[in-house]
Amino acid sequence: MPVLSGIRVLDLAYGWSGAMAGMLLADQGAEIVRVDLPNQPLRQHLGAHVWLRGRRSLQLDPNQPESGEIVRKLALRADVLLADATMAKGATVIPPYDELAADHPRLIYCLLTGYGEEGPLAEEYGHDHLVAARTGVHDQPGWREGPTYISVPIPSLATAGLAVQAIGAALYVRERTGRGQRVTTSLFAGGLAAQPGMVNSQRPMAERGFGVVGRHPFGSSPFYRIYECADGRWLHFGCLTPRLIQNAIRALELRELFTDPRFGDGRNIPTPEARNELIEIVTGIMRRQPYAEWAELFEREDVPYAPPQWTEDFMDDPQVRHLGLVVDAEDPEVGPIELMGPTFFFRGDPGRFPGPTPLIGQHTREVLEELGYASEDVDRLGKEGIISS
Amino acid sequence: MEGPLAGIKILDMAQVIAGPYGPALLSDLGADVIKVEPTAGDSLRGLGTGSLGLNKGKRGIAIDLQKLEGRHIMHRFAAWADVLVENYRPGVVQRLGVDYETLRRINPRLIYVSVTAFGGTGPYAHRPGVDPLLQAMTGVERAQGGRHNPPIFLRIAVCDYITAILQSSAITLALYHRERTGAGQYVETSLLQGGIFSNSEAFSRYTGRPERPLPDAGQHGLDALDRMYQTADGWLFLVVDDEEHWLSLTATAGFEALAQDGRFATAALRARHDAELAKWLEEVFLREETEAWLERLGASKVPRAPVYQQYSQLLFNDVQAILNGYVIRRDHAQLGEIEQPGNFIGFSETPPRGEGLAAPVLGQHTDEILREFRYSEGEIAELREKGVVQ
Repeated sequence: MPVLSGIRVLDLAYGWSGAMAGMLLADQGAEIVRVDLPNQPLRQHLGAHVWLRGRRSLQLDPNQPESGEIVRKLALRADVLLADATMAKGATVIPPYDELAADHPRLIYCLLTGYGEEGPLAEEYGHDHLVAARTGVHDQPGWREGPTYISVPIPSLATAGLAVQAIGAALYVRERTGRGQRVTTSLFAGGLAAQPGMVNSQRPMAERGFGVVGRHPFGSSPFYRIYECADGRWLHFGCLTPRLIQNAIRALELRELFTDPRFGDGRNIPTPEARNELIEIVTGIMRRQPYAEWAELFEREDVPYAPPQWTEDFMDDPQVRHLGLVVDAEDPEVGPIELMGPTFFFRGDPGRFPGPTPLIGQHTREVLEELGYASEDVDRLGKEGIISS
Repeated sequence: MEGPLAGIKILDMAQVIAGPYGPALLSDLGADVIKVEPTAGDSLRGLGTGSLGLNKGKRGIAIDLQKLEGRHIMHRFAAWADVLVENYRPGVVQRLGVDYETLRRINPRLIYVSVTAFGGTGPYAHRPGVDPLLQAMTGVERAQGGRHNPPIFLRIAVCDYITAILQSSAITLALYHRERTGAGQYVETSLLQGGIFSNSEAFSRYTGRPERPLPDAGQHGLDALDRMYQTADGWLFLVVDDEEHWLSLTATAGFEALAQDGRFATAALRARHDAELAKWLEEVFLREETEAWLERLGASKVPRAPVYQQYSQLLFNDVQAILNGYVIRRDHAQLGEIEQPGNFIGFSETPPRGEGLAAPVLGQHTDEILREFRYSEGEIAELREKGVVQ
C-alpha cells in the first residue's frame, strides 16, 4: 500500500510550488481532487503536464456562490486541503480555515503564501522570480557584470518540499491526537531554506562568500569547475577530495607542475594568482581533445566528471532508465508522453505512477456525483455556468 | 523543543549537505537530532559557514566507526532512534555494520533513510557524486546558460538542498505511515532525483512540446516584462504578466508613454516587439535609483522586487523575514549568539517552541550523549583513550 493511500487531498493550488507539492503527494498514493478555475496561467505552464499529474479535475466558476458550497463539501470530506494562490489570477475559491475547522477538526489545511502572512509584503503578488530576486537567489556570477537570472525556480521547489514536510508532520500529529491543524509556509521561506549558509555573528567567522563557485560562472576551484573541450562541448569536474584531485592531476599529466609549491595540492592553493594560473593551464589542456576522449580517460582514471547537458537529453541516460525515473503515460491532451518518475522511494511500497495530468474539468460530473449531486443537479450547474466539464 | 515532531529521535550519520540538512530542517519541528561525525569531522567543516546552517538544531558526537566499539555505540543508538539518515556510497554502511538489514533487527520500527548521489543500484551507483555533477547532468547548468551562453555553475547547490528538503518531507510521511501501521521502513532518494525534480518542468517528452523558456542573451530573465533591469545604483526585477499589471505599469509616473505606444497596445503586440520594449525599459530604469523605482512601482501596485546581492548581510535586518519569524537566534559554542534563517513552517496546534540548538562543534556533546546511553564515566574515559570517541 502506498504511504498516502486513502488520504484525500483537495487541491486548490494555482501557483507552481503548490502544483509541485501536489505531485509529490500524488506520487505517494494520495487521492487528489483538483478544482480548476478558468484562465489560470499555471495550466499554460510547460510544467503543468508533469506537476498536475495524478489528480481528478473539476472546473468551477469562482464568482458563483454555489461554487463556494461545492468547495466546502469537498473540503469537509478531505484529509488535506492544499491552498496556493501565490500566482493565481483573479478570484479563487479558497475558503478560510476557520470556516472549515469547526465542522471538520481533523482537516489539515496547508496554505502557501508569497512572503508569509505578516509584514509589509504579506499582500504582495508572490511570483517565484520576485521572491528569488528578493532573497538573493539571483546573486550569481554570469556572463556579464551584475546579478544573473536563475532558471530553476528555487523558491518554488524548496517551498513544495516544505509543504509536504508540513503535511506529513501534521498527518503524524493527527494520527496521535485525532486533530488536524492549519500549517503554512511561503516562497520567501523556501528561498531562505535553499540558502542555509546565511549566518550572522557578533564574532568573526571563517570566510563567508561564494565557496567553490567564486566569482566565475564556470567555478573558481580548478578541479571542481567547467571547461570547454576541443569539440565545443563542456565538461564539469567534480573532484572534491584530495584523492580525486590527485586522480585528475595524474590523468592530465600535471604531476610535474605540482613540484612547484605555488600550486599547493591542487585544492588548497596558496594565492589567487596561482589558482588562476592553474585554471588557465587546465583550460589550455582541455581544449586539446574532444569530450568523448576525455570521458574515456576519466572513466579509466576514476576522475569524477559530467557533461553539462540539456534536461531532455538526460531522459535517455542509462542510470535514469535503470532507476525507472522516466515513466510512459497517455496524456489526455498531448497523447503519449514520457515524464519524470518519483522523487523518493519507500521500499515498503515503491509507488506507482499516479496517472497523467487531467483535462480541465475532466472529472467534474464524476466528482459531483460522488458528493451526492444528482445527475439533473449536475446538468443544472452546467447550464448555469457554475461548473464546466 | 516542542513542536509537531517533539519526541522524535533522529540519528544523523550523514555528511556534507544533502544528508545532514534534512535532519536540521526537522529539528525546527522539534525533533531531537544526534549528529554522529567521524573523529576527523564532517568533511564540510572548515568550508565557510555552511555547516552552521546544515547542522543547526543537533547535538554532536564524534565516533570512529572503523572501530568495533564505535559500531557497538551505533547499535545502541539505533535501538533508540526513530529515524536514521546516512549518505555513504552504496556498500559502505554494510562494511561499517550499520546497514538497514542489521539495524532493523535491533529496531524494527526504524525509518532508515539513504541519500545517495545516483541511487543504490545501476551503472553509476558506485561513482562519487557531488552537486555540480548533477547540476551538469540534469540540465541546471545548460538551462542557466540558455541558448546564447555557455553553461553556468550555480552558486546555490540546488541539487543538494532540494534533495535534502525532499528527504525531510519523505521522513515526515514515513513517520505518519509508521504511526498508522507500526512499521518502519527503508527510504531512498538521490541527488539525481533532486536534480530531476529541480528540472521537472522540462523533464517530459511528447509530440508538439513547447520549448522550455530560457533566459535571454543578457541573462536578465524570460522577456521584457519578466526580467531584471539595471537602475542608477543596482538592479530590480519586474513581473508584468497580465493586463491588470500592464495597466498599473503604464499608469506609473515615467511609464505613461507606453500606454500611447501602438507597438505595445496588446499582449500579442508586446510579445512581437519584446526587444524594443526591453530596450525602452532599460533606458528608463537606468535614470533613477532602485529604492525610488520600488516606491513608485509599489504605489501603483506593479509587481516588483529588489534584486539583492549579498542578501546574507541584509536578511538579519529584513522586516519581512523578522516579522514572519524566519530569523532565529542560537547560542553557538564558539561564536556566541548567532542569527540564521529557520522556522520555515507555521503550525497552528503544535507550534515549535523553546530553545533550539546551534550547530555543534566537533564532539561537543560526546560525554553528555554517552551518559544518556548509560555509559559509565570509566567506560567513557576508556573510549576516549582508545580513540573510539572524541
